[in-house]
Amino acid sequence: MGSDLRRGLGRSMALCSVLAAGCYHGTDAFGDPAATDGTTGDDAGSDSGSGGIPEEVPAGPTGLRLLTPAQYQNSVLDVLGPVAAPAVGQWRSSLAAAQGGVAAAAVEDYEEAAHALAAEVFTNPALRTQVTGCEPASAAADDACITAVVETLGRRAWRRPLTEDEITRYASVATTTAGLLGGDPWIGIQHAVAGLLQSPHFLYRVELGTPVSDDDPFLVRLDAYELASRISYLVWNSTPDDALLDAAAAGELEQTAGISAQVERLFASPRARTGVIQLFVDMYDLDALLSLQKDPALLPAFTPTVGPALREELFRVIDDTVLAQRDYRRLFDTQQGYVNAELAQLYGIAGEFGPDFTPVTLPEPRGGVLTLAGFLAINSGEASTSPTKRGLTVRRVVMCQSIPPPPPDVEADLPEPGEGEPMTKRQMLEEHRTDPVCATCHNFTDPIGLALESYDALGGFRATDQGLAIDPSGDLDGTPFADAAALGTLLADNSATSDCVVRNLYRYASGHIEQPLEQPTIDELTTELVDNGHDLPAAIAALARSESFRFANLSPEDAP
Amino acid sequence: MRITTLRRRTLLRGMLGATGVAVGLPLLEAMLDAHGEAHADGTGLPLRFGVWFWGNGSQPGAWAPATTGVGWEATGILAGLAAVKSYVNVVSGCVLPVPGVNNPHVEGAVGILAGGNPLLHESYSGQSDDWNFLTVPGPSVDQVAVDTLAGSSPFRTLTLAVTPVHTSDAGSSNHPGTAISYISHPAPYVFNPPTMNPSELFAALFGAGLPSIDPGQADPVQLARSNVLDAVLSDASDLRRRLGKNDRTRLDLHLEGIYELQNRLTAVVMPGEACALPLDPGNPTSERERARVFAELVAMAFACDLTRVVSLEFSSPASHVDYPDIGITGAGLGTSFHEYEHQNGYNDNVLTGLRYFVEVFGDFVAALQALPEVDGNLLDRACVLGTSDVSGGWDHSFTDYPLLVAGRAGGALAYPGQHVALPGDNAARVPLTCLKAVGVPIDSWGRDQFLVSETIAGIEA
Repeated sequence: MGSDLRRGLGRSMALCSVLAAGCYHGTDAFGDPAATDGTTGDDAGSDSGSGGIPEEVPAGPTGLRLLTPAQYQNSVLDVLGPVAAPAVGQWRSSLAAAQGGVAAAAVEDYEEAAHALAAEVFTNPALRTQVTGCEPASAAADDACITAVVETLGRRAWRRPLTEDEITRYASVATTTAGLLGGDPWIGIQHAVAGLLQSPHFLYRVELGTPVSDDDPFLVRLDAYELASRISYLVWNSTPDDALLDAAAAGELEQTAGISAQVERLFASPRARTGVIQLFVDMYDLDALLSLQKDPALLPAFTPTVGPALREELFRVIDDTVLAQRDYRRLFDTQQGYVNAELAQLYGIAGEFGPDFTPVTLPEPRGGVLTLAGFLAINSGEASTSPTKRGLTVRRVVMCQSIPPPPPDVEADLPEPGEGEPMTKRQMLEEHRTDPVCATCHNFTDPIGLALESYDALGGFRATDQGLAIDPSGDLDGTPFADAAALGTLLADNSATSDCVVRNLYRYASGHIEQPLEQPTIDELTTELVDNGHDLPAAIAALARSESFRFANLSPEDAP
Repeated sequence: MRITTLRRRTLLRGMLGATGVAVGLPLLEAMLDAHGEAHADGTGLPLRFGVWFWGNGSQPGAWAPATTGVGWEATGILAGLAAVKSYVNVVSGCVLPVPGVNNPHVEGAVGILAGGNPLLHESYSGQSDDWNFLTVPGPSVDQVAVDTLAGSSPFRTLTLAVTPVHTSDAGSSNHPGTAISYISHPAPYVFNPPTMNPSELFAALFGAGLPSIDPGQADPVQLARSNVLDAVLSDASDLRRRLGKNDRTRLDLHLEGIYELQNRLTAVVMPGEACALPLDPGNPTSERERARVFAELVAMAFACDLTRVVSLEFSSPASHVDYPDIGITGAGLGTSFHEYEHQNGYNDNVLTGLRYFVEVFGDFVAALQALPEVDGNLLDRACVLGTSDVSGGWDHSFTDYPLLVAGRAGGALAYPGQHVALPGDNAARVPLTCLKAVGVPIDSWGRDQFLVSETIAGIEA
């Protein structure tokens, strides 16, 4: 099969040379920011008061945003209290859920979950009293307890007060269903709440806005409740609490000072951890670790529990660097990891460890998120590593730099290892990096990925590959580094890294890719981040105050 | 709108218990009264439509039979059709006019099944994994058929997948583009999540027993669920008025699902003569066996009129899975069948795989053929399109596209099956022919270079 090996490589080479254009090194933002006039309107940190509407608002589209599975789960917990809330939904990332729809077959998942959740609460006398604080006297639609439950839980679930018609609608559901099922008013309430949780007002974040003037139907301002909802999902990735809805009702969110006060209050809650981590879950697709698959024959350390454990470690590292230390750069050069017994073994850390996670100093030569086994495992195949794929993820996800795909006919797979002469991945890829045509892109991705070759497809350390020593050194756009940990310190201070997390934050918060018009906001927020010692929560607070967050420019397709 | 005006007939479940031996449903007088004429000649019985899809193509220039017309020989790659070939029409030589700018597997799957070029999501900006950003430009062919065929059948469509799709946890996506993973799309950015476990399909279709006609009382639990959905539908129609065009389309698809659910809670079906309670097949580890028991459940769902449309994805576009049943097991090392094809051309291993895909398709067709209906079998009123994402996986070619059309579609399609060679013709004519055969009222199908208005007369009756 040695000749097959060469043939495979030769074929890749031949096709690779089809790639004529150079590799795009720019940020993957749309359009040319310089094309806009640079008007930024309200400074991200200043208080515009309630009246001022700048002539050109740096905002994008808005509309219905389907809850992601995590948002569904968090919201249910915040509406009903401690229940067995499933994560229901077809679109995991905020960006995908803003565009994606619900297929007919998925509607039943929502229905089943809603009935199961309502039954859990309302067939449990202690729990239903705790959740509702009342006792229905009858199943009549005007029973005070029934209307109070619909009103209170409905407001939390729908993120706004229900109209009179809506209250009547669901109170009637309680009456009708109680009548069908034996007359117990609690059964009726149970069905009414199951309905509230299936309504599009719950399953979608309804952020439609209202035109700011009669002359222009396309520039809209989010109303107070819509804004409360945006703030809440931004910081908590969940539905607003009663205090935030009260602030919306009192008009407090019309002032940026009022927004700041609420954002600060939300950040003081432990729920902010969930919310901020979700940004990184989206960016790095960390939920892929929940269903991680590796070949146990080649990676004996793989078990069904290792993926979720690696996800938990990443959560803790993000929490420690981004939230506790409040310095985004530390994510890339931290020496602190978190292990349970299984991860200690994977990392080769000696000592006594149990099922709980313990902070540890990462063993050499590790440092920073790129060297955490969770990141490495997501960006690998089931058995073997892919330096190009890992390098691409760093360029795209961490630095927001795009790479064109190889031409459609390129066979991107490297030949199978273990046949012919043993080669390291560096040797296999050498030809890609020396051929002048392939090299434009591969020199962009591969040095990063080759630095990560010290870790196998599950993230375990290895000094050799195919019995040959691994050389993790390389350079990042001309600056040399010795290994992956040193690469991390370069990334920590790279301006692309700062710009990129803000860009990802903006997309995560708004549910769309920024248009050129919105670029000034990204620039301002990046400045905000850098000037505040790379404090991401400060940038999040500034985003919540920005016009981009509070207004939207509808396209004709989005306007009613 | 077909909403709550459905007759409140009930699909009574639980009458016969959740599991047990297969029990033939007695042919009730009431059924004969209602459908007496239908039973006499088959008119009025539902037509069915299916897509049976496999990834990574076939062998252009070699997969089709040597002779055209009737009496084509089921040999070589098509050997697995020997037992059903009188019900299979073969169309060879067609070209799928893909644009050749994005991932070829996605372009092929979207081209043949959705009749257009993939849509690229706004977040794509020259990314290397473009397939994560690609969706369909409009509904896939099965979802177009649904609108005509579904009627009040409890499951408007069944979506099944036999081997793992690209998304690590099937049924959800971190990316806006899903055309690499899923083949059934009601609209751009909406995918039907496949059922991957036959036991789950069994539970959904037959878990509470057989459908039955009962003019008596509806199940109050189901009526209560339906009442809840009435309120949800009212919410949705209030909201709909405030939406722009894009969101209206999204919400409408969501509403389709609510109508379907409500229909399932309150409608009754008219099971055919072969309708009988199957056994729970479990979840076989063999992928061929999984595909076969899926086929038997689909056949029974057709016979019981629980559904009229199915989409089955044996393997996804560009699939990188193993086929242990035929000894191809290198996926962990990056040498799945996909890489075999790329690296080895059409050697024995690859040809074994290509024959195998058709054999498993043959199992599906055979399962429909096995269930009698009126004077024939289910294939007499079905059309199943068997196809793939490329012509040849080795070099991503699109010439001599693999196109198999099983069933007579109520007499619209040729019987016994023909082999028609149409070198250079647009492959999109085949889905058009299938759609028209099952009565979808369209004059053309597809968009851009896939737009076709002429069916393939050679495979029509």
